[in-house]
Amino acid sequence: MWDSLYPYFLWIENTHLGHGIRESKWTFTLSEVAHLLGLTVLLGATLLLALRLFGFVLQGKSVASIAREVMPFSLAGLTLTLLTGTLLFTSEATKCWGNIAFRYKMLFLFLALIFQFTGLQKVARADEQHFSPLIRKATALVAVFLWFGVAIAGRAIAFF
Amino acid sequence: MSIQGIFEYIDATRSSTALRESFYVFPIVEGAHVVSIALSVGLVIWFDLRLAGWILRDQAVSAVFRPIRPFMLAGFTLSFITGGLLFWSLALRCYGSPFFWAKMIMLVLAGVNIAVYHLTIDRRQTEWDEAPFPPLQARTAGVISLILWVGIITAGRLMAYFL
Repeated sequence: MWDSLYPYFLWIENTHLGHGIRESKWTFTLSEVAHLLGLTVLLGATLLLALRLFGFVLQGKSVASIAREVMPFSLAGLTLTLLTGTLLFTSEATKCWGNIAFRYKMLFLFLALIFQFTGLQKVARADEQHFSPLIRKATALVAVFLWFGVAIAGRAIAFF
Repeated sequence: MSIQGIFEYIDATRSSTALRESFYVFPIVEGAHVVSIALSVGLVIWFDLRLAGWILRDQAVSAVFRPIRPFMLAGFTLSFITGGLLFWSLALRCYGSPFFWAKMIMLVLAGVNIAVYHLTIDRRQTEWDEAPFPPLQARTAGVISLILWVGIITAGRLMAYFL
């Protein structure tokens, strides 16, 4: 199935946008910088929420109210990372197509995005008593695993 | 021995060459360095933002800082170890990179900022621990830290790009 996607990857790479980013060294480089900064905020927010779900930090404040303060940062980080990631992808789509780490990254990203807006959001916004500690901890672990999976697979793209 | 001489010496050591040319270890160290950023900078920002009076204002500053500290310190330890190894393997190329020196200067400034904070305004923390908006000096320390970490990550990424 992946093979049949190649023409689309080739098309994306040959758009004006793809050409433009590839040929402008600074657009590509600054996108990489912003990609990493956005990722740091997103992973940091995920970690803080996970640590709170485990009961390690900020026990004086409910998970739901921490989520309310931290989620805007997750969203901002996520938006920045997705936007710059799309730009980077556009400039070298066919290279990504042939890259095994990229495929893993997309799989992790797909699962992480779904989990972020379903499982994690549901548990983080619920009343303390609504979910058992075990479920809350499992949710935290899954979120951290998926987002760090995205980051590690993303770093690995450069090595294949 | 000049600074350049020291960097040349490091670069020529067997361990530096072995690390630089290793097929698995080098990528793993680089990957761990990126993960360590999330643990270190990704966590220190919440304390910085609290100091600046931007988030978690209903929580005491110490209540934000104290429980996060061990995780943050673990992250910074991993950053320094993996960063040190990367430097060791590429010492000569680091020497010639303006981004490397910018990063080192900002790391020193971040250290100075932390030291000044802990030796001055933090000594009187009990007086303003619960304040939603800490005193100007503490807020400034938080903002400076945020700016420096953004700068350090930026310089680090650019350094790898131009090496």
